[in-house]
Amino acid sequence: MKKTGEFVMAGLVALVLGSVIGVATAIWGCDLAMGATSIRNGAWETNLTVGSVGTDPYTRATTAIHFLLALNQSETLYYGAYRDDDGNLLNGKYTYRIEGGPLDARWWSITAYGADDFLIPNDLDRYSYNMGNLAYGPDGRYVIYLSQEPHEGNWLPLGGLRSFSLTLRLYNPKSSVRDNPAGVQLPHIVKEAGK
Amino acid sequence: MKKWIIWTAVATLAVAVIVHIVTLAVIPNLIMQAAMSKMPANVLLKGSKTTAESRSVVRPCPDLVYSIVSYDLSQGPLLFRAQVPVDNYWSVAAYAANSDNFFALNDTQVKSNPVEILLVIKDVSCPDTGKALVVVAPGEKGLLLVRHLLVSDDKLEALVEIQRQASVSMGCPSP
Repeated sequence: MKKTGEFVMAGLVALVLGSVIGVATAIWGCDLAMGATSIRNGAWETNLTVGSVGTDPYTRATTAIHFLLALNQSETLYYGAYRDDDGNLLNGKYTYRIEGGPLDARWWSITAYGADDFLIPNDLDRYSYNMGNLAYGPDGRYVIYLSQEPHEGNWLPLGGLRSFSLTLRLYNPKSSVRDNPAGVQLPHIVKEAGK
Repeated sequence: MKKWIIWTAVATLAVAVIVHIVTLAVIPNLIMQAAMSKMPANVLLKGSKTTAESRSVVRPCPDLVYSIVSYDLSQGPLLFRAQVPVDNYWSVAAYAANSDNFFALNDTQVKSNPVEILLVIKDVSCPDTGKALVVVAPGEKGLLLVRHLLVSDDKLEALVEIQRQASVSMGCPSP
């Protein structure tokens, strides 16, 4: 009788502890697997299996949580940035410059998102810049400013948020991008000194 | 006492492995189910300009205007029909219940305009599919998402008109 009680207790412990460990390692595994299978390019990273039918369970779960209804890479290439060029997490209390040139795709855009993965509310209803509405310099390059306070030029407001991230979308990317996602020249994300 | 500890450790490991696998399999399906449950089945919902208020799907693109259908093919095929804009990015993509993007077609790939897409499940066919492109879904339920690129606000009216002309209907195309 005592033995039976011990085994029942052991079963309950195994059930509770095993469930907690199973869920925790699944979530942890998603982050780990995404990191391991992602391609890095400066501050940006992309995962070529996002949205695709043959993706692994970890990428599929992460995609569902953070990038639901993403297109597969034959249609669109998504790059995400959570850090600046120096590897520090993006933080809304600072001002950042996104500096770059035109990208080799039919259409491209850069969008800022809050920690909840939704657009950042602001009075201007401005959430992104794209190849069509950016103000370019005479050399054909552009600078986008990310800050809470208004900034001259291409300005993406960060609202009052501390934590934010960026998504660079390339619709129908050309082969120069598709064939070399790690090496293609992407915009730099630079934190303004002293701000 | 020692036996009890070993038994608990082995059982904990076994439960952890099973729960780990099940969690990974269930997450995408649950999230898709939550998204689909907000919409009536087989109805094309036409969204407006994407803003910070757009919170039905994570990471919406503010340069796009979306239309969406939560499809349920248990009663038969779904015919999607849309006018495709000229010289402006447009695409339709189909997603399975586990969130996989199993089909995508953009404006440069369409063979006829308006485009017709017949979404069916395996082993279901129509006697006459007409001009429709037949797409086999891996399961009965999922989402069909249409993306219209909004180049600038002054193009919104024309985009809404294109969006308005799109439709879905149940059943095979009329011969």
